[in-house]
Amino acid sequence: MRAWRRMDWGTFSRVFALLAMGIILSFTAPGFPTLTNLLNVARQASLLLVLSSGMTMVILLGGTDLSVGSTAALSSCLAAPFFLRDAPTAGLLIGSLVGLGTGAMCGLLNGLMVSKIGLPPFVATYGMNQVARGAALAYMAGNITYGFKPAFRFLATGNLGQVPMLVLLAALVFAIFHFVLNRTVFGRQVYVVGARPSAAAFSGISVPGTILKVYLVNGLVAALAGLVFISRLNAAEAGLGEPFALQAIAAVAIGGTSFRGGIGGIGGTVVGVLIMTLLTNAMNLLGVSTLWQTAVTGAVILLAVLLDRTLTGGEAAGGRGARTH
Amino acid sequence: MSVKSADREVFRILRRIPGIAYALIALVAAFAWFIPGFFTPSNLLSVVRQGSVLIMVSLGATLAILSRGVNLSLGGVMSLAGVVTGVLIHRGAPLSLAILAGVAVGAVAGSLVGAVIARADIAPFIVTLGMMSIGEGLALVLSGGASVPGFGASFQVIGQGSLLFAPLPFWIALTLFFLIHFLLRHTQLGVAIYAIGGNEEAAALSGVDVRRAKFQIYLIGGLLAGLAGVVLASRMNSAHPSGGMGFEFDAIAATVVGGTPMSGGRGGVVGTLGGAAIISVMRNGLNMLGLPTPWQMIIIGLIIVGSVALDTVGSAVHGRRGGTV
Repeated sequence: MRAWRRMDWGTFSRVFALLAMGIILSFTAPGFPTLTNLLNVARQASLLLVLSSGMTMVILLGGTDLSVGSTAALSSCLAAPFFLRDAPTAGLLIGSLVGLGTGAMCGLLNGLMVSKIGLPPFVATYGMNQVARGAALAYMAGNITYGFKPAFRFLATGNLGQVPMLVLLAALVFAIFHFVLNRTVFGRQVYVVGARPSAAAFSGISVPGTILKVYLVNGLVAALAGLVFISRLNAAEAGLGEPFALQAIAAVAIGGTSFRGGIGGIGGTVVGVLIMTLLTNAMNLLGVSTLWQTAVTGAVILLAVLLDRTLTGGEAAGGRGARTH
Repeated sequence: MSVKSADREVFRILRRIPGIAYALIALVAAFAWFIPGFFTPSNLLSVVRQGSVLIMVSLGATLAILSRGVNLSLGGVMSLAGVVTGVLIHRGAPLSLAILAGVAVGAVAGSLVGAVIARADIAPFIVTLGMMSIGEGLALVLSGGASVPGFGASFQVIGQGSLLFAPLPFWIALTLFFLIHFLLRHTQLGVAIYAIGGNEEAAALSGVDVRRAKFQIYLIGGLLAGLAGVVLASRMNSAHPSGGMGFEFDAIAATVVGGTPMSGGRGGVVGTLGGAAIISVMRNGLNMLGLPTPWQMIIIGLIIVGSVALDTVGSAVHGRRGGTV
């Protein structure tokens, strides 16, 4: 119960920050409160929400995944040729299978390295990041695959009624993760393994199994994000997704999920995603150079963990303990 | 220090070196056999010149890992320091001031990271990841996203000059190595670093000023990264905003290959010297083989993961597991 009361301060401050940003932007940035811009914000937030949903689960587990950008690049580059085919349904099906399958493979390898070998997650996923990026670069050999069939482009650019498909997709992914993390045994296991791996093992949870599943799912999520990204861009190239991991980690950090595992949740991540997206949108509208974005992302990560630490008295940002990664 | 303890010190160093020295000799021999032009004085000197920068960064990485932490900000800080020095030289600042400013930037970044980690007790992984992004981002902003080229002969001496048949960067790296080695073996901070890495709570209970030590670890890391960034810019005769990218992971690999486990508390910079040499020889050899960049990325990624994996499996056998979830 005490944890809940503490959490409330954090949640309150996050929602307050988001609302304040919205209000300030409405007055200072002329193009902000238009339907076109807000829909644009929603679309941009969607991709980040998909990535951050998976990342939340990984970080709740006490891990991290630096490979999502490269996994997205490799899986979407391998899948891309199928979306050029003349038989749209078959192409869509095979392409999606190839893409998601590649993502699942990358995730599975991450999971194996972390759970079976016991590698620190940031080392394992950095290695995967290099390998997947290298593989994507070698496969594409500097080429770009572009001009996809409309059936595939509908995924990211279509509308269902008034609502963009992309937003619906992100909402669906979020709903699934919300349900799994909060309403299923597996979700509880993720929290327990993240908070105390040894206690989880003693209470009969298969710790390696849980770790394996979480990284596998995150590989799938990264692949999905990659497919959505190339569908929106109408082109696939080996360098795509470079900032994905950092942006998702930043969104989760702002969302108040602890990097020591077991504390936080996906509700906060939505707010984190929206804050990150509004920040980017504001910088664009106010004419700040895009060169600033990397630095701002880093500063936001630092401020978020510091603020969370002060507001919640510590546990959300990591209590005392020897866990460093 | 008495003669006897000096003897013991030398003996201890000699006893530590062999494993890694044999590995290094075997690697050099293999490359000399298979790669024409590898075992020539000019190429070996250029390996030493390139490796010197990695040694400087790796010293900082080792300090963090010995204390059971990690420092992912080293590469980003390197980039920033190089760009700051480069831009100042271009604006006509005196050389000494420009160099000092580069190193000072490293110190500021390091002390910021150190203060957050030590005071707020937040996991080093996320704090240094944030600083990595800030460093890279500010380097992008300051350089306008392009490399800052051409500094003139007097600055290039630092990275390209030679003294007593060896490259100047080597002498700088060697001096820093002896300083850090002395610090670890003969100062209070050194004792504190090993104690914190072994068992932080026990260290705190036995009177070690944990906060102060942690602050100093990351401050020194920042200083070393700043110096390395300046030397790198001088050697390349240009400061690239992502020039330091990836150095932090090479440095982690050098540390772990050199026998300091990710779980901290054991090891030291003597091994790191060998680890950095192995990584540098490997990079040079792969380059000389004419392997395309994507394949080099894949192989180096595998080497980093493989080296940490060997260490982790090794320490699991000895009853102490390297990584957490």
